[in-house]
Amino acid sequence: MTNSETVAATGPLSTGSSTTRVIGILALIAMGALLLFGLWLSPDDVNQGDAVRILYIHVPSATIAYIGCALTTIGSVLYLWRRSQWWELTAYASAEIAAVFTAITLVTGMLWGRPTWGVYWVWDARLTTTAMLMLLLLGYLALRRLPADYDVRAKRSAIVGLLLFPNVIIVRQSVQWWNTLHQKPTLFANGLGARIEGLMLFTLFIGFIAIGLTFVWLLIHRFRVAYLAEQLEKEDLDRAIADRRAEGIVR
Amino acid sequence: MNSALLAVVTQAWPYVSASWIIVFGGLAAYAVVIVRRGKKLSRELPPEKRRWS
Repeated sequence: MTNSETVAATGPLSTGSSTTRVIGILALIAMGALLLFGLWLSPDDVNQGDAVRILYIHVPSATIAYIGCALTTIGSVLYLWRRSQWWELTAYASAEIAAVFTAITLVTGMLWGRPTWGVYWVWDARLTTTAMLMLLLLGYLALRRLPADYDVRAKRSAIVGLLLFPNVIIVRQSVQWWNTLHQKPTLFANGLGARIEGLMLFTLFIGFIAIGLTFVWLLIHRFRVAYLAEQLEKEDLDRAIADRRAEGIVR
Repeated sequence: MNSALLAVVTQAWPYVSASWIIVFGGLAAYAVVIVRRGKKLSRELPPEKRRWS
């Protein structure tokens, strides 16, 4: 029996597959390139000095967190509309990863703020709305994990999930709507124009690819973990019902 | 290297290093947790419930 035949007969013993392996390898290569360009090959900024190197991970992390929130809102809408478990699990997996990237955004933003602004934190509109987004994501995850029937948990968290993307729009637009210490958009500042160029723009582009591929890899694995957990819960419930019925027959 | 530039470099690098270590370390740790949890759950379920390959 070949290795692939063995896997087909027994089923995979992990959440990995040939697709995730390819994405994982590409993500590692992109991360290596990001390290090389972000810390070594790209020049330092005229105003920020080397602190600009933090932005090569901060900006893509923030963007991916926004995409994760958007995916959670889409999944929540489709769960509430069509009762699709596939979309509910996608929303859940995406929300957890979005929470990780939002935390990364906040921490790297604070570490960039200290040498640039002189403080780790100010109650600026962008920072405050991002902190609110983090709280909303934690609220979604807490509701999703409360002990209850699957449908009840899924419905409660999906309602919170609906609020995520509107909050992302507030975060994104906060630098335009209010006077903030946080800088205005660098990319797409004037339509498709960017206020960054050359090797710095290229490094930022690698950052988007590396963080984006990592997000896709994490999303597939996290979705499969959530799927397995739900299957196990369902199996335990079926077993408990069968045991109870067997007890009734014996009596 | 003049003293002003040296000051900027020495001020920023601890923050730059901390940021990159937190991002790479955090993502690696999260990935390990997910993969290990997936392996554990896979062992507890019959093969027909694990449909990817």
